[in-house]
Amino acid sequence: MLLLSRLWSEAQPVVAAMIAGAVVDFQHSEDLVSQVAETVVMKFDDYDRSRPFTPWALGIARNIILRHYERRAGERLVFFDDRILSAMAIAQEQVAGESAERLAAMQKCLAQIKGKTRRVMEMRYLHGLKPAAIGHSLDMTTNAVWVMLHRGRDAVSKCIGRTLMAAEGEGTA
Amino acid sequence: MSNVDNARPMPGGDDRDADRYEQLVSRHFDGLLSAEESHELGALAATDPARARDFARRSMFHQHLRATLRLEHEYAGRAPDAVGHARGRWRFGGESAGMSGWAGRAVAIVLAVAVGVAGVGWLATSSSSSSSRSIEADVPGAVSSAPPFAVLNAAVDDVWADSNVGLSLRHGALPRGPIRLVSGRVEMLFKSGGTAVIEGPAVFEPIAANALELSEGSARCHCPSKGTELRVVTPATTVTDLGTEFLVSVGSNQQTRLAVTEGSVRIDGGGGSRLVHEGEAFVIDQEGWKDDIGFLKDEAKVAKLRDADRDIFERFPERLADPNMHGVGSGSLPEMGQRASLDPRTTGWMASGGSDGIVRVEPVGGSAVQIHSRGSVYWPLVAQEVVTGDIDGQLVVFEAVAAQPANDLLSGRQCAIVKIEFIDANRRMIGDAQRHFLRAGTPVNRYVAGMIAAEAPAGTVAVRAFVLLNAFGGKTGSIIVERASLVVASED
Repeated sequence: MLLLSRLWSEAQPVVAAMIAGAVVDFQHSEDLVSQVAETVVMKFDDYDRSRPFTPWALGIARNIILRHYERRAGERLVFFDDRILSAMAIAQEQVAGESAERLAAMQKCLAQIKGKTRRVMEMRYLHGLKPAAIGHSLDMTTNAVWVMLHRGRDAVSKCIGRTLMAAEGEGTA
Repeated sequence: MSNVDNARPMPGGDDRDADRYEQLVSRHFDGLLSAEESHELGALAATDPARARDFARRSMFHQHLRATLRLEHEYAGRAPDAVGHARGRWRFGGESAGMSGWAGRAVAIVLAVAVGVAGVGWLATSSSSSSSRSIEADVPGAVSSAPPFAVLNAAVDDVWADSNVGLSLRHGALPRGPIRLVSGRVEMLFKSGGTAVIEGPAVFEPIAANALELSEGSARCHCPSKGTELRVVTPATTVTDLGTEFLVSVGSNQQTRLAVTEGSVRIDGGGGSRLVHEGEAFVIDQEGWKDDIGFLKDEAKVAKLRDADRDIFERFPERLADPNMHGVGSGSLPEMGQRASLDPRTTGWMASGGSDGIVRVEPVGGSAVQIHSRGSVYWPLVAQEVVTGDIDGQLVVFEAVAAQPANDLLSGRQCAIVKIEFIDANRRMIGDAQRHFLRAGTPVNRYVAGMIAAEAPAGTVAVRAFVLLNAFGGKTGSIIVERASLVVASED
């Protein structure tokens, strides 16, 4: 079980990111990550230990996302089919190793986001509100909220890029 | 992906597809696409590997954004479940005698999870002091967030549905809402002094300083003395521990099974109230109570935690180099990754993770190591690695003796942690164990022992032993480590 614990710890952020891309509602995506975790534990004896674990977990995630879509077929949901999800699982695995420095830089860069933009981003990411609900709360149009989110994320993203470039420069000095 | 949310042409594919992809993807993560547009976006991403990777990076970016904001929220102490109380009133029963055998997830690995990195536990504990400053800005002065009414005390092989939950718990926080433990065991310590060892799969939520809500799974609850109380609320009943020990389990049918192993408890529900005494077991549902003696017979193997028997280790030498810290001298310990010993069987003591990089060794009344918080949001530490050879299945015990100094008290959620990692021949960590001890509010200038014991998994060839400080971004707060020992039990 220690092995499972270790493997799942490595795979979980990758799985969570893939699900976040396919199911944008935070509550739903977190429920799905839980379902993947439970399935991974239940099916762990079936896992071929000679093969990488994360792609196996991503395959489970793909199936669970598809079932989620099927159950909620009548709702206006993001919809990716099996082929798309499979491609995304492969891509997610490919970029998994890039994220460590980015997350460290993100913590620093997020601190630079202040005022209303920060508030909107917290409402979106911390409290899981959709842009329409944020707009209703702050007396803004949905589009204005989206623009603010877009600019906030863009600022964080650019800051991360600058931070990583600076770190690379320090490392070679 | 220099700017994940910034419209720009993608390499590969024609410009029209690239423009359309940008139009769609920038609105996708806010839920502003129709199902048809989403499918179009997916098709555009899936047909171009570069675009697929870009989409994957954006997914990771949004996931990290949410995780980071949550983490900052926890650090800023704004969580509504963070119950404030004055330092000194916080009692943690039995921490100085933390002798139970545990194997569990490591703080370093949880951090690795948080940053999305596999297999960097050794390095992760020393990462990024720059990020610590950004979080520290939200934490005025010393640690501002008081401990919640229940904290993680130890863990064995725990797998969380959401690894951020594990991260929060290891920082001494208590995430809001029901917590889903997929597998393994954790021990939660309540402000009342009671403990609950919860066995996954389980869904639970500490709901008060003396109350646990258990929706699914099993828990062994213990109140160490009269005057401590712990209630367990299940869908069928409420069990009140009256200074005793009992096991409660909730099945998928919401039926509650109860076995009392020591003392007595009161149960309310199932049509009334009654006392249940040692050696009795019941199943409780909407129809009432029935005897369930089979559960009592089986419970011994469920969520049972065994104290390490110190006598069995007497014949075995301490395996750490310089267990009494005589040779650490003054100044700084070598950084993690550097050897501090010429002995091939051990690295000697190393340090990492303070806000200024290296743990300082300071004169503290003899040979000892003082681990400072100094704004670190991680776990500054001292550690050494010992080559053990094949010790598959043998019990490994690590004990450290530490104190908090009167002139640099622990506060808030800060605490000391003892931890061991099992390393295989490929230098991979294949298991670990940890226990929290020496928390804020405990007596100052008094050395207490923190001990962990865990069976070495198959393939173990070396063990890393750590003493860490859960610094929690505090500018102040330190622990003094006076000695430590690592022993491996006999196979017989």
